[in-house]
This record gives sequence, C-alpha cells and structure tokens, in this order.
Amino acid sequence: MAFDVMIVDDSPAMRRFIRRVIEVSGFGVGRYLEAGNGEEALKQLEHEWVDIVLTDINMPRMDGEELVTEMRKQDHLMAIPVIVISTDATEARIGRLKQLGAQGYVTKPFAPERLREEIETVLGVTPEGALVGAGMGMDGGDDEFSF
Amino acid sequence: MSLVFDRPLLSEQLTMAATEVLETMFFASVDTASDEAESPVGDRIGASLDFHGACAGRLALSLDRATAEGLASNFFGGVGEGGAEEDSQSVMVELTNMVCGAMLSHLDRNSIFCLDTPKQLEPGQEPTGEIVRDLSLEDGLLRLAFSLQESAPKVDAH
Amino acid sequence: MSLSASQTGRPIRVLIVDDSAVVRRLLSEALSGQPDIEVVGTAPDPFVARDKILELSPDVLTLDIEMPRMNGLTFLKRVMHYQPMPVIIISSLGQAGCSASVEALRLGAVDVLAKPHGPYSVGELSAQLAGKVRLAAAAQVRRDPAARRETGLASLPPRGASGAWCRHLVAIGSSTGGTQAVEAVLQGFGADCPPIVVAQHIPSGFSRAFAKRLNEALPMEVKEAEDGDAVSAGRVLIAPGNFHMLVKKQGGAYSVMVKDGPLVCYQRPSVDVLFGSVAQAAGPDSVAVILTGMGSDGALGMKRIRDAGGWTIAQDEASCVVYGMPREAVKANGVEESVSLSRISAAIDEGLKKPRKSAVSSALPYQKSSAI
Repeated sequence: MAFDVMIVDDSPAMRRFIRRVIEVSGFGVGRYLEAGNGEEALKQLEHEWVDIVLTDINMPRMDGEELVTEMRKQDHLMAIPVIVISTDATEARIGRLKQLGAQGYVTKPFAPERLREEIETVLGVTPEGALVGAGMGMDGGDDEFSF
Repeated sequence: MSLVFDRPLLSEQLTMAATEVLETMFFASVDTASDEAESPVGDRIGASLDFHGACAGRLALSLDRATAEGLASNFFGGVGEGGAEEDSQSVMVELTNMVCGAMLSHLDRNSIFCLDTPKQLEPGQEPTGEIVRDLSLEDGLLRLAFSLQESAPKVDAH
Repeated sequence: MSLSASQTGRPIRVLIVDDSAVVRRLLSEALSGQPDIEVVGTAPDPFVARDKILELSPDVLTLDIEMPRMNGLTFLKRVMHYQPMPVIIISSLGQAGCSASVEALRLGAVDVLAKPHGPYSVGELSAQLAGKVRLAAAAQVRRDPAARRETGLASLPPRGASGAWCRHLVAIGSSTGGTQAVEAVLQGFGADCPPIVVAQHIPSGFSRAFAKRLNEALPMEVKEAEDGDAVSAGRVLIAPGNFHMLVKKQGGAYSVMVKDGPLVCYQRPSVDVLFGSVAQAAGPDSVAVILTGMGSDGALGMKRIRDAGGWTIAQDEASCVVYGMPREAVKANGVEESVSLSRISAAIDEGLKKPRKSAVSSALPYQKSSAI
C-alpha cells in the first residue's frame, strides 16, 4: 500500500523536512506533491488524487484555514484528511482549524514520532499497513489473494 | 489579552522554546543557557522576525556559520541541491519561526498571533532586544533576542 | 465519446474493490466463466484501489460500500471526480447499506447488487453480476454528475391552480442511471406535483431507501408503492423492487396494484407492465416518460400509451447514461418528443397541458373525480 501525500508550505525547507520525516517514519509513500500555498494546492488537487494533505497555516495568497475551508466545500476533496502543521499551538487556532474540518494538528516543533502518530490516527493505518485498532474482525489486511 | 512584560518569565520561556526546537527538530543538545555573555565573535549568520496579534514584537537570533551548517545537515538529513550555504540560511529562518511560534503559544494559549516571514540579518549584525539569552550548543553559541512593542504593559520587578 | 469495451469487442475489464477476501473471491469466481469479462484486479481497500484504477484503467468497478479505513461513498466521490467510470455498488441489504447505496446512485454509481451471503448460489450470482457488468460497461459516465445536475436544472415556477392540466397522470420508466434521472425530473416540481408513478429497475430492498431519500430531499411526498395506494397530486409512487406495479381506475380515481408475477423484459418491476396498465386505465389522460436505461423495457408500453392518446416523452441520447430504452421506444414509434434530461420536467408540464387528442368516454377530469 502506498499513500500519495501533498505537503503545503511556503517554506521549501519545511516541505523538505516534512518529507524526510515521513520517509523515515516508514510509511509507504507513492508520490509527494508539494504546493507553496493553498491556491497552488487546490489547483493540483483538481486533478491529483491524493490520500492526505499536510498544510501550514501562514502562507501567502491562500492560507491553511482557507485551504481547509475550500476543501470541505468540494465533494471529491471533502473527505481527504488534512493535518495542519504549525508553530501556532494556541487553543484558539487549533480549535478553529478542527472546526473548519482539519482532522489532525501537529505543533512545531514536533518530534518525528509525533507526525507519524498523527498520520496513523488520521489515515487509520500504521506504516506497516496494519489497521489502527485492528482486531475488529476485518480481513482487510490480507492482500495475498490473486485470481 | 496582551502579554505582560515579565522578564524572568519571558526569559525562561524563550530558553525553553529554543531548547525544545533545537532538540526535537534539529537533534541538537543545549549545554547551558545564560544571560548575554561576551560578544560572540567569528563568522555568524542570523535572522529576525516580527509578530503581531495579541501583542507585537520581534525575535532575532544568530549562530556561527559552522554550527548553522551542522544544524541544517541534521534538519535535512544531508546537504541539499542549493549547497550548505543556502541550507543554513533557510534553517536559520525556520529556527526563528519555530522558536517564536513555540514561545508565543506557550505564553498565551488562548490568543492568535501572526508571524511575519523571517528576514536574514546583515552580516556582522548581532541580535538586540530587551531580553537576550545565549545558548551554548555542542560547538557554538546561539544568541536569542526578544522584544515586545511598547504597548505591552511592563512588570519588571520580581 | 470514447468507445466502451462492449463496442470494441475486447473483454470488459473489471476491478473488484472489497475489504472481504471471501467476497473478492466470490465475485472474481462469479465472473471467471464469462468470456467477455476479465477481472483485471482486486483491491482490499480504497488506497490499493486507487493505485490499481490509475494503473489498470478498468472499464467497470465493483465497490463495496461499507469498508474500513475509508467509507465507500467517500471513495466513490473521488472516483467520480478523478477517474469517472461505471461503478456497481455491492451492498448489504441492511438499512445502512440500502441508504448508502441510494446515495451512491445519486453520486453516479450505475447499479447496485446485494452482497452475496449465506447460501447464495454462485450460478445465480454469476448471471446477475455478469449482466450488471455488461450493462455498466455500456454506460456513459460523466464527471461529478451530482454537482452538474444541481447547477444545470431550471425548476418550474410553482403552479397556482393545477386546473391548467388537461391530463392527470404521469408515468415514468427508467433503468441504468435512472435513479439520478428520476430525481432530476422530480426536482423540477414542487409540493403540488402532478400524480406520478415510477417504475425504476432497482433490486428488491433498495427501492424503499430510494423512495425514502427522495421523500426527504424533495418537497412532494415520495413513497414506495403499496398495493391499493391512491395516485394523487403531490405524491410520487415508486414501484417496489421485485414486484410489478399497475395503475387502475376505479370510480374515477386512480390507484395502484402491486403484484408478483413473471419477469417482463427480464425485469420486475417492468416499465412495460406499468405503461400497459396506464394505457388502459388513463390513455389520453396520461403523460409517459421513458428515461435512461439498457434494454427495451418500456418501448411497447410507450407505443400503447401513445396509441391510446397519451403524450409520450423520451430522454435524448446526449443526456442518457445508457441510450437503450429511449432508443427502443423511438424505434417502436412510441415517442412524441425527445428532450434532454434538464428539460424533461418542463416537457411533462407542457404535456399535461396539451388538450387530449381523443376524448375518451365520459371520464371526468381527475381532480374533480378524486373528490367523489
């Protein structure tokens, strides 16, 4: 299983760091897509089918709050999980982003494990491909059938 | 609610924020922290950032170039296409941004702050501010300078 | 318009998405004996499914609506946006499954199949599934149909007096893509809609959820028909899956009969059965509409209604998911006019106002007679 990830941040350095953290956390990532602001992200999401979006808040042109708001308005983007990564750890901001529809929030600075946990929670899957909270009788993990 | 200029508190929060950022994101360890010691010397680079919102102010920091390159290599897991110079500059910018964000949100968890984009300091320019802290890393000195705008009421007696 | 697999002669390539390994195997086996169908892959979850859709470009997808990790509807929305293709929903017959399936049809899935369980005979499943795959492969699936429809449809102005109608019964028949089309047509009417009866090909169990959803979404009453229900203004009756529905006239008022009986044109409910009864009971008092769908069900009925003086409308080719039943009705000379989906409610309204072509006996206009 491989996820396609979109990283939205106006800082190329942060995008590079986040990508590295995901790589070392062991998730099978198919493609990394990057955008410098919300507007660029929406433009790519119009034709790029990704599994998760990680976004910063403060960005030029369209910030993270507007991006989440726009995504929640569109049928095909509505349910794509969004994790906000921001230095802003204030309750007010976290609450507002969650209310707008972000599923996850990671405050900078964060340890690599913290982002990994948040992705696990939001996608419902561990890097090894096991279901989070497995043992519910799902037989979804077995992919060995071939016909 | 605006911040109260409580020097010991701000000084402690600044040190804590910088230490947390350095340890979790840059895999560096902070040996000691002190109030402004002797003037740092050598080839140094720095960045500063203005913030506003519940209160306004500025954070600036500087680091010797070799240490910055080391932090960059930790942060990125290697040297990028743009070379070590570019990497260490962008790392200074990220470091400033994160230290400032972390500090402000710890100080006031109920307000929203806006952080401007950090700017590089001119070569040779050292950070100045109302609170100056020096953090000694394994092989270098990180100087942090924090100021609040005048609008903040000052409570300087403790 | 690209050629579908069934038109090019190569096998129809199917991707099976289901979290249950047992169901994946059952469905694969059910299709394995069909020379014109090839299962190109299976996927246990939407993430793998996405990769395989992009890699294999299948012609038809079967999709389990209830999956862990991501709900099938969410996945369907993305499929319909990023890679629109015919999707057959595989759903349990439970209440949640039925309403999710109806929502899936609204989002653009072309068909629903009840999830195989218990002593389901593989032979039966095989025939049903293969039939649905062939129908689905012929469907023209458009991007984001739900979104397009909502913006593209002009609704009729509210009508003051329904006395302007010269005809008093609307009969609608539809199949593949029909749940969306029926909804689009009904959206053109308000709470005071004319009396409407609908035969939509839909598996047993799903028709109730379909009626329930429309009832919640639309201003008029929409109800899965029960034997003896009165046909009246402000009410839409949907034929229940696996039963035929017929209209009868008694004491000047219309009502429906819901009956068991043999499949007609491989269907139950059959549009021909409904339309045949409409021709007989209402004749010139009716407007009949044949919407998107594969096959020929309804063609004969349209001809009979037209011959009896009813006004007959077919959905045009460009707006059909499958231009099958309307084409057959046109061929059978049973169609007065062909119009696009967005214009059908207006065409019905105009049809209701057209003077009857031949006066029939002493039948009173419906509105008055219903007061008796």
